[in-house]
Amino acid sequence: MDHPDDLLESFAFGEAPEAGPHVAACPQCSAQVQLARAAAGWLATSHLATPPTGLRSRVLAAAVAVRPSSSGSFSSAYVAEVADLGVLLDSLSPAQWSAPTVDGRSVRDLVRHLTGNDGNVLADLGVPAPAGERWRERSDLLLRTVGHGDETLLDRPVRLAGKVPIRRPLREALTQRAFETWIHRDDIRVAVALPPIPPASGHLARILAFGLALLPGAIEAAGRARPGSVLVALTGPGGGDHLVRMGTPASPARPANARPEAAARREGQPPDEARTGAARAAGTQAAPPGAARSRGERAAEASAGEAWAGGARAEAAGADEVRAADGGWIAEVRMPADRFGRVMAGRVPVTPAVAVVHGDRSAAFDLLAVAATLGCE
Amino acid sequence: MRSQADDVRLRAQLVAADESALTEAYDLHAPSAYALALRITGDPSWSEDAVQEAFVELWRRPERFDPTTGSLRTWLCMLARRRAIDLLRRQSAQRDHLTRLAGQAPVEPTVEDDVVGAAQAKAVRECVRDLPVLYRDAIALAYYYGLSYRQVAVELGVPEGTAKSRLRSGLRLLARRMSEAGYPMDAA
Repeated sequence: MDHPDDLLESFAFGEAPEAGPHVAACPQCSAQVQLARAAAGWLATSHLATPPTGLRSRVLAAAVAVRPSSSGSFSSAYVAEVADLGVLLDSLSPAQWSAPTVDGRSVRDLVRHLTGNDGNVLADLGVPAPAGERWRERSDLLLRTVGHGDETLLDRPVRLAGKVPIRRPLREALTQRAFETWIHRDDIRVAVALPPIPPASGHLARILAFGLALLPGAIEAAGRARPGSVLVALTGPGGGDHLVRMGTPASPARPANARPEAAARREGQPPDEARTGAARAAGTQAAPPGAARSRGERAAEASAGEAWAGGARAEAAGADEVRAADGGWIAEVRMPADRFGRVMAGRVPVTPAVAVVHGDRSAAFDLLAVAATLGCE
Repeated sequence: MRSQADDVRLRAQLVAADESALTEAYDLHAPSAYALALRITGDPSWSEDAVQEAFVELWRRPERFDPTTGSLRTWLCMLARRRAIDLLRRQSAQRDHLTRLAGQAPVEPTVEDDVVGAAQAKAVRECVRDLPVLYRDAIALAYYYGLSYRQVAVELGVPEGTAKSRLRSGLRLLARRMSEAGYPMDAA
C-alpha cells in the first residue's frame, strides 16, 4: 500500500483532506494521525490568554452577518434529543448496533426509522435529503433547515411520524420529533442495558403538553367521550396539573362506533397491523398478524389519527391546560410525568397500578387507554 | 473537564443556529484560540482576526466539527491555527522561524480561571518543556508554523528523514508523558 506519509501530520492538523480516505482505511496511518491529533489538541491548549475586550461582540456580529441566528426556542427540545441520541450512538459497539430493542427491531433498524421520519419532514419542507444519508447527517439537515426558518416555515404543514399520514405545522411536528427521538433513544438505552433517562424538565413538559392537547379529540374519536374533565396530575420534573376534557364539546353527537370505523378505513389501516394502540393500552401482547380485532381496538387505534388530523383543534401549546383550582373534574389521575410520557408512547402498559386514580375510574382509564394510542411506531 | 456530551450538545445547538451556543463556545474556548494565534503570529491584531474567523467558520459550518475525533476546543484551535499560519505566511515568507521560536519559549499564561483547563495547560507546558530540544523544535515548526517535513529539515539543517523522525519521536514522547500525567490520548 502506498502511504501518504508526508501528509499525515498536516491531515491531523486539519489540512490535506486528500489523505482522508486512505487514513480511514489504513490502521497504521490512522494511528499516526490519532497521535498527531492528540498532540495538536494538547499543544493548542498549552496556553490561555484573555482576548481583547470587544472581540466577543465583533465575533458575534460577524457570525450572524453570514448566517442569521434562529428566531425562537421552538426546536430546543428536539435539539436536545438529537444531541443525547448522538452521544449514545457514538458510544455503541458494532455488536450493540445489532442488539434487539423492545419490539424486536434492531438498534440499527430504529435509527433508520428515525432517519426516515426526519427525511419525511424535510421532504414536506421541500428540502431534498440525499439517499443513503446517516441519521446524524439527516438530523443535521433538519436542524439547519429549522434554524434559518421564519414564521412562515414553522407554519408549513408536514407529516407527523406514525401509522396515520397526518400533517401538522412544523412547529408542532418538531415537538413530536423530540418525543419520538426520546422514546427511541430510551429503547436503544434499554437494549444495551442502560437505564432510560427522561428529557430535561422543560422539554418533557412541552412534549406532554403536546400530547395532552390532543387527548380530547382522540377521546372523542375513540368513542369514549363523556361530559366532564379528568385532572391529570403529573408529578416530578416536567410535571404539572392538567385538566383534560373527556371529548370535544363542539363536535356533533354521533354514534360511538360509527365514525371510528370509517376513520380506520379512511386511514387505510391494514387489518393485520400488529401493534394496536388498544392492545398496548390494555397491557396485552400485540395481536398477531391476521388476528381478528374487536371494534373497540379499531376505535382506539383510529383515535390517534383523528386526534392528529383534526381532533386536535387546540393548539399543542397547552390550550387545554388549566389549573386544578378551576375544579370540576370527574376523576383524578396522578403519576410521574415521565411515566405518562412513556404511557403515551406505548412503552408502559396501562395497568391498574400505573397511576393513582380517584373518582370515576372508568373515565380515568379510558383517558389513559386513549393516551396510549398517541405514540410513535 | 468538559465532556464529549457537552460538545455534542453545543454542536446541535449551533447547527440549529442558536446564538447562545456560539457565545458559550466563545467564552469557553476563545482564551485557548487567542493564546495559540498569539504564539503563532506574535501579533495581537492578526490573532484577533484568526480567532474571529475560527468562530465565524464554526458558526457557518458546525456540521464539520466531528466530536468523535476530538474536542470542540481542539477543533476551534485548529481553525484558528490554520488562519494564523495563513496570515503569517502572507506577511513573512522569509521569516526565520527558529529566531522566532527562540524568542518566545516560556510564555506564562495570563488567565487561568478555567481551573481544569488550566491544569491541563500546565501539564502540556511541562511535558513540552521536558522534551529534548531537537524534538521540541521539530514539533513547534510543524505545528505552530505549519511547515512541511522538507521545510522543517531546511530550518533545522538536517535531512528530511531526520526531520520526520524527530517530529514523530517527539509526538510519541509527548503522548507518553501526557498519559503519565493523567491525560490519555483519547481525552485530547
